[in-house]
Amino acid sequence: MANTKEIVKRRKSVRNTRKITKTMEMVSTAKLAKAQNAALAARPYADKLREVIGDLAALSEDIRHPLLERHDPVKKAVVIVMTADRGLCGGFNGNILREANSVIQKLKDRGVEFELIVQGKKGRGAFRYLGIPIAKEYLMVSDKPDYARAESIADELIARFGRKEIDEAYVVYSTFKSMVSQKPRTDMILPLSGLQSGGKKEAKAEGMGYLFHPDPKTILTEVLPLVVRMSIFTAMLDNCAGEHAARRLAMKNATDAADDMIKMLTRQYNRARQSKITQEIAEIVGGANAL
Amino acid sequence: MADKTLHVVVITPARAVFEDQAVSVVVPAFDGELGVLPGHAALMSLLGPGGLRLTQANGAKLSLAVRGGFLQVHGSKVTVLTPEAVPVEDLDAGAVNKELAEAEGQKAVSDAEIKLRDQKLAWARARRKLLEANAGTHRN
Repeated sequence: MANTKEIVKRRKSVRNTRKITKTMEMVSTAKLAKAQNAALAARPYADKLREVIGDLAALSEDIRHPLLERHDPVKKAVVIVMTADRGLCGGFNGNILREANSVIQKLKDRGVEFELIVQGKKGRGAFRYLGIPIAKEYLMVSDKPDYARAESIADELIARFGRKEIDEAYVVYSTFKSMVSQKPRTDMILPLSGLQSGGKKEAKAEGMGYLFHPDPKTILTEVLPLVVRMSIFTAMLDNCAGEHAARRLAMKNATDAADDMIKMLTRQYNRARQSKITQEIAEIVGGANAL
Repeated sequence: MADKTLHVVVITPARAVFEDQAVSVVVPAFDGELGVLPGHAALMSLLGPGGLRLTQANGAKLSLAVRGGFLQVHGSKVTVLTPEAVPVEDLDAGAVNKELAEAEGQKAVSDAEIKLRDQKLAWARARRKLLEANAGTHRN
């Protein structure tokens, strides 16, 4: 049995670690609440945007927009990978990177060239290690989703898509499903899909008798890029909430494990102490008997 | 049936900036100002950078700088979607002037660059105009 002094030392070190993980857990809880609020606050905009586009699409019987057009053949794709800037958040970064690698593999299988845009230090580290070149990186911003940044990324992609320099764009990020589950996810952001003219919304739109200023087509042209911007922005928001949820969980597990370890070490310490005393008494008794 | 007030919502991707009843709204459409009063026909319009003014039921007036986006009027509901909306009082004159100078000095060669610069210019100019108008009302 280890001697008591060593056990005490170990217990102290575990206690210190627990202090850190506990603090990190609390910090993540607070940040998570903030991130969740931000994600929630973005919802009305996204919902309204979808509604308006649905109405517009229903009204213009033939929607043709460069952003909706599939490029054939697909030669080049852009993959935006969002990870966290810091670790200590369980499998969060690993899961996203695994998803990103499978996306990249699929593109390679199709013989498509790809370009990476990375947000988050962890992503950069991983791709550097793998020797995959990164076209553009955004660091130390993973917990500050910013619409202006989403806008600049989106606008560049849209411009290049319009010039046919790129044919597809994906964003790989982590969704915030619940406090305990964050699933990595890949969304195709260019070309835009899921927009059909006519369809079930027609009746609703016709009944409204909208005036358009200017015509619906022009409005649609102006509004569609907003969808691309918004999907990048929501990915940022989700990713941020996911990161904090993952870290909170990881730190909670670490704190619990530290608790268990302290309990175990205390028990070991008591046992060691007891056996030491017993042994000492036995020695004294033995000594007395010998006299 | 026409309601006496409008329910106005101004939303940006980050948050809902304003949500309340109003008796009138003037929005910066892409080609000039456009007023909306209760009973307005259903309308969808593109907006340009400029000032959005609204008068609330109690007579309070509010002025916001909005960076484009679009407007939807449906029944008594007025929805403004815009990437950015800032109350005029919160505008920072120094920052706006700096942005304006930056945009004016920016070199733009390709069509896309020119478009981007023009957007920046228009947004900075719109805000400066609002700031000047706001300063004017305070002096009187």
